[in-house]
Amino acid sequence: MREEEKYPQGHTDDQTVAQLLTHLKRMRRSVPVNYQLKADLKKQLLERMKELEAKKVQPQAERPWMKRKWVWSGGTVLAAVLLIGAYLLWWGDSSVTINKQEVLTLPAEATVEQVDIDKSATQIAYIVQSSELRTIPIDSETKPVTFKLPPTKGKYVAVAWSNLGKQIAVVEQVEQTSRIWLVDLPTTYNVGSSRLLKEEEGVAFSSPSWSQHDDSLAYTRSKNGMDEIWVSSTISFQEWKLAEGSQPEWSPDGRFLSLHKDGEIAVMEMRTGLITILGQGQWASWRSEHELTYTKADGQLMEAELGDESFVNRELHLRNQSAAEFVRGNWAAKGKQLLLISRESQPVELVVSLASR
Amino acid sequence: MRRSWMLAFVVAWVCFLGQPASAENNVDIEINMPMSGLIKYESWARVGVTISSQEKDVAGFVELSRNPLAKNQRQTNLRQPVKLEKGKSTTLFFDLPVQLLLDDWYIQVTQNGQVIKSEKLRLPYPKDGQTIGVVNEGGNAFHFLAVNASQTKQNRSISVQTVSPDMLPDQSWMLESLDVLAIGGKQETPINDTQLNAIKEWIKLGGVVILSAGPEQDGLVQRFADILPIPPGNKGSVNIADALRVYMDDKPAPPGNIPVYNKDFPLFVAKPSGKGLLLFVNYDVTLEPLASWQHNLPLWQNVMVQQGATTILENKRYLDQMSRPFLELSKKIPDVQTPTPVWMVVLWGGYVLLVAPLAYIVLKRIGRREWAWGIIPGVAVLLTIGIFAFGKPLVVKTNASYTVSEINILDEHLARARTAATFLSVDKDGYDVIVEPSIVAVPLTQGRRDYEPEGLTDGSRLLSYRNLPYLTPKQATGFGVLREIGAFDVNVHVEENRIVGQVKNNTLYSYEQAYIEVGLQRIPIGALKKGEEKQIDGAVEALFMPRDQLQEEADSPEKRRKEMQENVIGYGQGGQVRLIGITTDPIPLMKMQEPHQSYYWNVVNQTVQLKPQENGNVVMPYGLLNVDLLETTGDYDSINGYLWQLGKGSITFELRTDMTNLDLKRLLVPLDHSSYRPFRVEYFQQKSGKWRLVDRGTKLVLDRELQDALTVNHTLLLRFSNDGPSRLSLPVPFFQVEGVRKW
Repeated sequence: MREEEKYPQGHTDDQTVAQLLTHLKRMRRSVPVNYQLKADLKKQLLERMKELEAKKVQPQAERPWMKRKWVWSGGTVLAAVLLIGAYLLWWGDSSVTINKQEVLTLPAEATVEQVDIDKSATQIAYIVQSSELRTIPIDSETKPVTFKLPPTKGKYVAVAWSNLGKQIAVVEQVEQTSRIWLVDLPTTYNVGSSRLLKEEEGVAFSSPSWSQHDDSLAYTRSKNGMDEIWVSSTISFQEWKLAEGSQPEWSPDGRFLSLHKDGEIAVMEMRTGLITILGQGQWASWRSEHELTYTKADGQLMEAELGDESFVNRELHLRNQSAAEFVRGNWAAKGKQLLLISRESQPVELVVSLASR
Repeated sequence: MRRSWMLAFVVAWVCFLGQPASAENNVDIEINMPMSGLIKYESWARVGVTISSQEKDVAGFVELSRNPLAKNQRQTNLRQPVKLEKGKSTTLFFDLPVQLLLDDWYIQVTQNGQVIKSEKLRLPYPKDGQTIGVVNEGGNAFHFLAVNASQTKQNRSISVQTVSPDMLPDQSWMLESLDVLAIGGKQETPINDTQLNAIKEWIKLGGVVILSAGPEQDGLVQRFADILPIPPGNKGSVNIADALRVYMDDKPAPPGNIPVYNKDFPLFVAKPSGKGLLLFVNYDVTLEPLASWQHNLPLWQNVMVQQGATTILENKRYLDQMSRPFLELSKKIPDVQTPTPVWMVVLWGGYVLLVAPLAYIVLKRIGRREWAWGIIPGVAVLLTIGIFAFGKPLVVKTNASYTVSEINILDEHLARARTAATFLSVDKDGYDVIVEPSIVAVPLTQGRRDYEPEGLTDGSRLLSYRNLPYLTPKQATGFGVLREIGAFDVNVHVEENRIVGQVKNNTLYSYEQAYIEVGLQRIPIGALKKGEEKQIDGAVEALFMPRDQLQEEADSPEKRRKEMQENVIGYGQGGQVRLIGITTDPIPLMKMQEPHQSYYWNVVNQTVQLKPQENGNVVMPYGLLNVDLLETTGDYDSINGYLWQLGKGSITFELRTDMTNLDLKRLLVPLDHSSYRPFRVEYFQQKSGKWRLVDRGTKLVLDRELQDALTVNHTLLLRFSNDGPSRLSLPVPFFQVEGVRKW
């Protein structure tokens, strides 16, 4: 709208108009000043808000990340501590935990040699009813087997599983005659059979032990109270006397043979024939190429570690052990599983358990 | 318009078809085999290909191809170059194992990469059983040697095939298609010297020659005098009944006399030479009354047994003519390290899973994803160059070859050789290999299922490998003879259960290891240098069963190599004691014609003739002579061939005392061993026709009663019975015999 239209000509109150105009002029002069101030204030306000917002946002963005970092770091350290602790507690400790109590019980007249575990720790073999060989599976894939041994008027007194797990050596005792049979266990394609490896009158065989490749068998030959260790080849007719003593056990690599002589456990190096006495005890069993365990008279399980020129003996604790008197331990699964044979007094029986470390 | 186009197309097509047709008509292919195509599965054969050019010159190749039209150039072919003027013809030879030749093959003539003629290779099927080649005028000589399978002990037929003298090969290995060569007194054409030398060499290699001659049929008898001297000019006649009594005591002989070449000699005289035998028949086999005598068959069976020919024929080892164990071992070139599959997976997986995604992520962040087009292939190229630069020296540094050979010494002048080699070139795509003149070889490549003949040959000594992919090993297998390499001087005998004596190395090589092999046992001698002499004193076990290898734990490369070496060494057969030497000395039977690092692994062996003890008896130790399963009742099973399981029933073994050339005096079976005690053991006494019980836990020792016990086949039968309910195992009853050597 034009000025003339807003204020029509011919108004009478000239002074009022003039005052009004003066006032308006003053007002107009003052308006730019306010606008400037307003703009300045707004600008300052916005800057201030930005600063405040920036200050607020920054700590809020950093804090969760830092928190997570601390949580992860703490968790990792805790896990490491726990792992180390567990290692020290379980693996570092020279103890063995019995995890399957009373897998098998045998009557009081049974001997500790009548049960054995195969080297891969999948099954246990034992003698029942004088002439029956049975196996109990440890894992779910193996099936139990019952094998009829050649009929006997005496009894079968010892079993030993071959290293390859396909054969079992059993010892038969009939009055004055002793026999060692090699049993081929039944398979899907074969019904199994027995082969007479050794028969001799006037002696008692016991504690058979297979060599590394199952091509020979060491055993105790007792005659007139004298114990000797003999070896019979399973692939030829060769046989020879190895040493005086009993309870032979071949180390997994065939380098050593442990034996029991005069109440002590000794180790013979096969190459040199050198014999090292480890200590009082019986029933040695090899855990690895350089480690074996044996049982002291008080039922304490001992572990011996063979060095190049010396050995270290230490006690091996059995966790979860029952009140039964521990007699013999046979290692399997490359030193991870242990077949424990104990003698219970109430009722009198032989208790077989499984342990691991 | 359309018709004219079609006409032009038809004309062009006809012209296209016409071109090869005219080329095909230019060439004729004729295939021929030595000795009228007589081939045996377990031998090599020579395929003769005669190419004739009709109208144009031919310059190309004659190829042995699996495909009638070799459009695919990458298929395996064995080739020989051919250059022929028009109107001329030439004959090329392909020497190959028969087992390879029995596949479908085409003989093709190619020129400029085009097949101009293709002909299917049609071979007669190899004969089953034994083959006797008869060289005599007329076709009926030696017809009585033919035997049906049902009439022989091994259930193998014996067939007779007439061979004219001009068909006889001039190289000994080609006679391997025969088992026996029977030569009569009259030939249509004379056998030339080269053929005769080949026959004599074949006898040394294990061949059996029957030579018949009547009065004044001097022709060949005197030419074989270096093996068996029979003085000429001493003809006469002998009474048939008297002369045959030793062979036919229970059959009435034809009455009268028969004229003989030399009246001072018996009707049949044999002389071993090397591994074979020359059997001289002192009369003309075509002469009546013996020529058509009804009992000729049993007569000749007895003659062959008593003169040792049957033993030689039965003891022939079946050899894989491709020598696959040799080829397998030769692939393991020492110092050539094949990268492990794990490393290859790591490198490839690393590239695929790491480089490409990483490049994508990085490039996306910097906003340069299009660079991936260059970076990903670039890294691939760099990786390839890197692997090549760093990996190649780790795999192989230089050209290399590995030759594996078995040398069987027959005498100080002659040895049989089998060889296989692998060649690897690092900087060339082709090379030549020169083969020793006395060796026949074929170049091979590893096909999908088996080895395939592939390469270029000149038909004799040159094997060429061309257009080879980078770092691709190629192979060759061959066999033949070696001359003048010397022999071991072995003087050993058996005393009780020990083999004692001395051995001297008079061969050209030094051995890192040496053994005396008795059956399955190897008695170590240690290293044996050239010219060195060593004493031997080793125990021979009454029973020895090899350890079951399959039961062993996981394979290591070194163990695998040892198994391969064991497969090359193998075991001797037929009751022979062997001396075995292992040497890495160079025996370059096939030599790569490029500078290269050559490796060798050689087995040198020699059959050892056991010497007599002081009392003149030769002892054949336990485990040397075979024990066969003859009969069973009830259920039985074998665990590994050396242990037998027996339920309620019996098992009868035949002790092969006939496998020796001894006049037997004593036999021992260690039945006292515990393993036999659960069984009832009996031996069969032929004279009384009854089974005789062996006391439990006692050795079986037969001396005076031995001859009464031996069967008509000169063997001893031993029966083990299990009367109990349990299944029991028993080891094979190995035995020992003593006697005086007959020849």
